[in-house]
Amino acid sequence: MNLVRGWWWLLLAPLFSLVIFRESLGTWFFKDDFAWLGLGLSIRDFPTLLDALFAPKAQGTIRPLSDRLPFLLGYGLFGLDARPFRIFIFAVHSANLILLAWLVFRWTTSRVAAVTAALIWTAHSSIAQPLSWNSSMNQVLWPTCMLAAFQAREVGRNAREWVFFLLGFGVLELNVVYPALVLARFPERWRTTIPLFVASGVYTVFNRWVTPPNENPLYAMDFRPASILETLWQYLQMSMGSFRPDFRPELAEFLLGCTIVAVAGFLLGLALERDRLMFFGLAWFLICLGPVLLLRQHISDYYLAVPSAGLGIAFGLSFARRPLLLALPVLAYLTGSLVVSREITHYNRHESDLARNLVLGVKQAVALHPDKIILLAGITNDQFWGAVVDSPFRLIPGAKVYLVPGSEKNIDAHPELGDPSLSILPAAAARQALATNQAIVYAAGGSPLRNVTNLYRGIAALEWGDSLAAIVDVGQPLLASQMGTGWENIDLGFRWMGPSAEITLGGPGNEIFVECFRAENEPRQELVKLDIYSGDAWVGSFSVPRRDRFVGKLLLPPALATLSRLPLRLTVTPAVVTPDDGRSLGLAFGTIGRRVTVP
Amino acid sequence: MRTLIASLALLGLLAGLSCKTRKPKPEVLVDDTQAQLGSIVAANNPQTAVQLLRGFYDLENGAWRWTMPKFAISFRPPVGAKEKGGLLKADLVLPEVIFSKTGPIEITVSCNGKAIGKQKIAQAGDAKLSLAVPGELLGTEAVSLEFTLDKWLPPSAVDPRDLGMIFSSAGLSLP
Repeated sequence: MNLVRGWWWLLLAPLFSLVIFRESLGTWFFKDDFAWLGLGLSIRDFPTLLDALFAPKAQGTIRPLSDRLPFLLGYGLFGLDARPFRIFIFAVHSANLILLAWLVFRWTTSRVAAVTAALIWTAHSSIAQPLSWNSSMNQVLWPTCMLAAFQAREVGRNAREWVFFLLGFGVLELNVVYPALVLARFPERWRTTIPLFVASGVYTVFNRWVTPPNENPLYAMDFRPASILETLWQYLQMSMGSFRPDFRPELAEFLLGCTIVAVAGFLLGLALERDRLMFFGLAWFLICLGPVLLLRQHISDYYLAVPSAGLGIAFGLSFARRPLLLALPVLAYLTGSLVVSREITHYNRHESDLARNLVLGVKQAVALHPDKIILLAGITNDQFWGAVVDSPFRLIPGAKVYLVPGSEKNIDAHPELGDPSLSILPAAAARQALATNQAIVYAAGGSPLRNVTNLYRGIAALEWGDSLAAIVDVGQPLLASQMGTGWENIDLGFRWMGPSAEITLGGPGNEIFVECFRAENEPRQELVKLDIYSGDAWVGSFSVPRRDRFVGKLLLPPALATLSRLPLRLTVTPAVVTPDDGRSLGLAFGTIGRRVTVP
Repeated sequence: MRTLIASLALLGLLAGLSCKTRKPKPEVLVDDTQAQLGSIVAANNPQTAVQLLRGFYDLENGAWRWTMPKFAISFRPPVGAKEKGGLLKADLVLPEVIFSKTGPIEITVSCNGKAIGKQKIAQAGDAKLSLAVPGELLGTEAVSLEFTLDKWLPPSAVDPRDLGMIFSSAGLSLP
């Protein structure tokens, strides 16, 4: 009881946080969460475990302790139950608030400064995203490492400081800034920061060495000073948590007012006090923000989640010293920021509810109709970009789930994020599956999902027409009707062709592409020739090397590019004779298809 | 450290209690295998949502949906429509925010790919679309009505979507 009596005030900010973010405790999974939850599906042995934990993923990041391990363990232990994730993230965030308050109390001996610092931090709207979206939990775990390292330094536990500092690299690359924070707080102890800087330098070199070059323009680094300053200005405008570009235009004036009052009050407090700890708080803000100032094309509010702890330090002390002067600015800050926080939390909850209804509905549908294909009709733009694009259905054992043909017309194009057509069953295959009762159609645009298979037959007859599939995965049975003579039975997801085989592709499409396979130990020569004919006309050929997977493409003559039905004959020379049964075989095929390209 | 552990234990308890769902879990699946295509389609009716074939955004405020510049709805023609023809009615809204940028909007409607008529929406606000559908196009179990707008609001900083009109409901009846 003495413990609680002495330190009860440390709980104020976590309790405040629990109240204002209570809605996010019920948030389920959405967006990237499904990609991370599926990480474990690729683990078969120790090397694949290492790959899942440490291979660069998602813009080349390596975050075993934030993006990887929590999802691997969480999904492994609790499946699709998100509550353990929510509790874990809240517990860690609470620990962060307690650590920050403890540090500020140690530096100032003021409980008011300590509690206000933690309150200001947790009220910042940039915290809402990490607290309500599992995939951004790195923004909650990283400050734990830094604050715990700081706390260890304060109490003279050097080994513990190093442990937390090094763990931080497993959470987020931005951890490299920790030595600069220590230097800013303890400039007189600059010698002790040298090993920390060396560790950060070594990590930076190692990270740049092992991660592949970034190809995503959103994450391109811009080192020009003008660009950095422009990005900094954007973040400074968002620094009070109230202002966000394009957020609720009807509230723009109110939020701008909150920002101005908060900034004015805080700057006045800073000017009057000119306390070293306040300047350290501002340094914390700028140092933690520093690396992301290079990402001009990826300005994101949650990048302020950790820098805003510095604002808490600076203005918590300012408020403790001049409570009357700072009362209105703090109130303006809290009001504006909490309005935005609530909106973000509410939006994320809504997105996750959409995903939950869809994924759990499909899970139940798969249980009701094992071995059937589940076709989802009416998938909305939000459902697709909030869930389907990250393949949540692979988390359901035995699920064969596709969107109905034409679904892409309800979905906005975002080629940088994904391709809806990859989730859609081609019309010819869907037609075949529905006609042979291999598929069940569910209306998925709302909640609950509805089995509308019978109703949908009429719509399918109207909408799916009699067009042929432009892309045929010959390893799947549904499009076998487009395959003529010369094909063997399906074998482990592939299909062997004989020396010659026929197939008809839908269209239009001016490019043909093939995906085929050769074993490295097969007895034929290094290159075999795959010729493609349309009728008697030679269309082109590929030289297929002796390696596991070959992908090739060629342009069609203009006269063939517009055809909606393109019969093709494939011939392979030389063929190979199987020693077991004497069959003469050409190549093992995966996919052959047509598409429209710009020559 | 003892303080931290004690605090987190208390908070964990509170968070656990907050997470506990008191409401019954919502139904996630309904067997609508006996359902038929409807002749009236409302933006917010989950039983006919599947008839909104394409060109619609998510339901908003539980009542309406934004359309894209092209949108399509399937209907079951009413009994006798093949002989008497049909009447398509749609309740739409042309919001001031769109109208101020586009001016009057013309909607072209086709049935199963064949044009059946146009209607101009000349002012902002509620818009009732009403067009006759020839009987010879209504002889099938289901028909697809496609709507094409000549103007719409392109993506902007405020909303990254192509916004057409607000759709509330539509129906196919006998004239």
